[in-house]
Amino acid sequence: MSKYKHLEELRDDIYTCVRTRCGFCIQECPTYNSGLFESFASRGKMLQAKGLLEGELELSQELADSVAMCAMCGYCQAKCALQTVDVFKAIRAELVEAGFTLEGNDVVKENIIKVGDPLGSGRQRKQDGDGEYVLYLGCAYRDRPTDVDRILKILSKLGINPTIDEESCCGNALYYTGYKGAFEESKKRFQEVYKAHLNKKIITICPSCQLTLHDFFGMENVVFATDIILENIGKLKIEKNGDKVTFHDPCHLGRGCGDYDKPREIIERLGFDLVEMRLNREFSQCCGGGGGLQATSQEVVKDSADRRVQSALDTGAKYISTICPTCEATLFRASLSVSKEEKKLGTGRRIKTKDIWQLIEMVMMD
Amino acid sequence: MISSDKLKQAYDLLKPVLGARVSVAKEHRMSYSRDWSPRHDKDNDIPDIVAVPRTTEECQEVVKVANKLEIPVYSFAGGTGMGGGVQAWKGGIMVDTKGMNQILEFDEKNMSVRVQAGMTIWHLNEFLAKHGMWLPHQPESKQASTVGAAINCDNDSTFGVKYGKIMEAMTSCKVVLGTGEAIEFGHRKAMMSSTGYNIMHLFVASEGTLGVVTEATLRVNYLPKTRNVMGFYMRSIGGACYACEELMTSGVQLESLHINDRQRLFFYTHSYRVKTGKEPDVPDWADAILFVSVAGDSDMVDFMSTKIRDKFKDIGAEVKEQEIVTGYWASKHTLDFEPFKQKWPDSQRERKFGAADPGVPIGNVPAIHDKFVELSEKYNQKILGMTVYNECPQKLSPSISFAIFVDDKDPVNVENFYKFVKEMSESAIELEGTMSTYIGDGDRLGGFNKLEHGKSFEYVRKIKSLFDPKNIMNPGKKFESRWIK
Repeated sequence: MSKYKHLEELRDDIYTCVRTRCGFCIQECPTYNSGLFESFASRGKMLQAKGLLEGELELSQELADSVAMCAMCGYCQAKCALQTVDVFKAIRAELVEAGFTLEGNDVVKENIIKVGDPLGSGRQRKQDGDGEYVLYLGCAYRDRPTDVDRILKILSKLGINPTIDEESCCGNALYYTGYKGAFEESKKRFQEVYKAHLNKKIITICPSCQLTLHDFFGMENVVFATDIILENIGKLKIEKNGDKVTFHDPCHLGRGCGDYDKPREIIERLGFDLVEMRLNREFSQCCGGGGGLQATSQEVVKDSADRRVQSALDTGAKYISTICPTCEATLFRASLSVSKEEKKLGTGRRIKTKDIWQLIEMVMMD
Repeated sequence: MISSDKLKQAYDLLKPVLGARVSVAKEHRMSYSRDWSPRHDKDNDIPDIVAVPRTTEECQEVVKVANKLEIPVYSFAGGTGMGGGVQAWKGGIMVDTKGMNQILEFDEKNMSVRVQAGMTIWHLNEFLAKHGMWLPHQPESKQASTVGAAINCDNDSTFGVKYGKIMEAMTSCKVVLGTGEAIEFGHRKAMMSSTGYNIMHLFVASEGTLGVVTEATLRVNYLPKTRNVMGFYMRSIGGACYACEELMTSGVQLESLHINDRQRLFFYTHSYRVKTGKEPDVPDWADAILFVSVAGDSDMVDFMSTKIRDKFKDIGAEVKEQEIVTGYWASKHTLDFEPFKQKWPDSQRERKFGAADPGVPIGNVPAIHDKFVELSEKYNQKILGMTVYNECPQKLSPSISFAIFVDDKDPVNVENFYKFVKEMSESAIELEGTMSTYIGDGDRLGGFNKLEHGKSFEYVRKIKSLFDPKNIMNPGKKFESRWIK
């Protein structure tokens, strides 16, 4: 037995990887493709975990920096039969408990605990609804009022005018960056701030919030926006335009919640021509926005998002769509920069990012 | 043990060349401590420096530094080798070649592609498929395994019986030799040459002991339009071998031909078990399970399929459960595993896969299979089973995997595994064959392989010293063994 209690629970998976070494996890890993050391991919991290269990490696700031290079996207897990993401979380938890953290992640943690918002603004939005639904905006949308206005307008057309009330962050970022204690604290904070609504019908519009509330907190009364849209899409008056759209699966919606079909059905019912990228559904490639990378390595986020947009360009689609505020933001920036590069090269290729809400807005008739 | 002064000098010289792509941090080095070879689960061979060049020129700089300071250099690629071929057990610089992953030229007219050697075979084929082509050298490890690894390891291909292995496709390659020189070997895009010596061939199965292969030119093929994969239960292993030879003589062009013993089938029926919740029902009389594929235009595929069924109807029976055939083919070619349920980890939760890989002539396959059963028992190895791959075009050309499950938590069991490999290798020589057909010497057969080469082994040594005079390229391989004395 080693001194690492979180890793010990995963010993069998770690040593099974050592026995296997198939390497199916490596080539499409977003952080591996940015850094090119095996340690940035799952197979290398499994050997790091082994090194810790055997005392060959010690916890250190250098290890924390290395292990932070992971979007926790779960691609490796989909290519495997092992709980790879749990192993990375366990290494991160051991590091956090030993005091080896990254400044960017510490700031996120402090903000969540103090003001219930990883970005620190603490901005809230409130409105009284006229029905049974409460809309949980989540931190990313609380700072994006224009986007929320659009979503509310669409929900209204779908016959839903939800209540919006004061929120506290679900803590998803803490869950994946190894702050186990802080995650429990943030859960309590969420439950306290949101106590009036915990048993109501809650709609989420961010896949990370959906995964956390539904799967990690066990709240069966939480539904994701795709369910609500599909249930009511018949109420929308639509002018179909047939533009080609490719859909980027948000990791937490697809691999996390298992929702691959609903967003695609929405896009098709809106009248768009859906085309698939090379990597899609369970094996979708991450945009780089997860796992704490936003706070610790913008360069890797940009690299990953650029690769994803390049893949979207290869489909010939006019739009890359998604339904996640983090993915939308990273892909939006990447589609601008990649399209600019393509213009310089004179390829004539360009693409725009439009999330599903924007696609609905495009074809929705007043 | 390499002095810390030397390592510091090497790092200081490489840092300006590679920037963040060179490291002495143990967090990174640890990730290169294992390949897929059987060894005790606690064993680690941790290199001193990891370097990731992106071009031949950068790779030259690494080898020049190593040459100057006399530090070992190891080429790392897919990391899926089964013989310890990349284990850095003498310390030194691990060159991760996967950073060299670009297509340099695609010449559609001449059906030729020039690639950096770190490109995976999977990615190359994704590219070629857009042009209706493929590289038919397809090892099972192709999602991780690279073109350079195929050259250095001479690994098996699922389609060897039609297209041969990588040597059949390679027309030229660039190698950074132990001196740091980068030399092109081969015959441009021509398929063969009778001028000079075929030095290029020396790099196939050289395991990085002569240099780092950084680029290669490969002849590629058109993708066949259709394919039919079939399985047959056969009464005997020997009978299956001769029947297949007769089939090919009759004019049937087999695309793949794998002959498994009864036990081996169960390693390939993971998806069958997942879907049906039971083991496949293999007839009691069947000693072998044969999988073949034919490919081409649909009328040809139909015709050949009928001929194959006719040929086998009296000596076997077709596998009717399509799930068994699909599952096998997923393992061998499509790698289309259900998400989150890939076969390889699930099959090695308790013990790890290990194999002896001798090659013997067609008539001696049953005899070496008998030896396999006998030696597995002698050394208390849990039998996983035999597969006879065929790796030369249109002939029975056994490259055999005699696989067992190694208990890697038990050092004695690991030691016994290598005793098993040793005796299997000796048996292969007695049966007029070779010790290894696709794993290579690695850190297991080196030195012991003199038994196979006899006096010619001196020339193996001379060739090594010609390309790598300071013996810095992948030392501890080919000429010495850690496991077999």
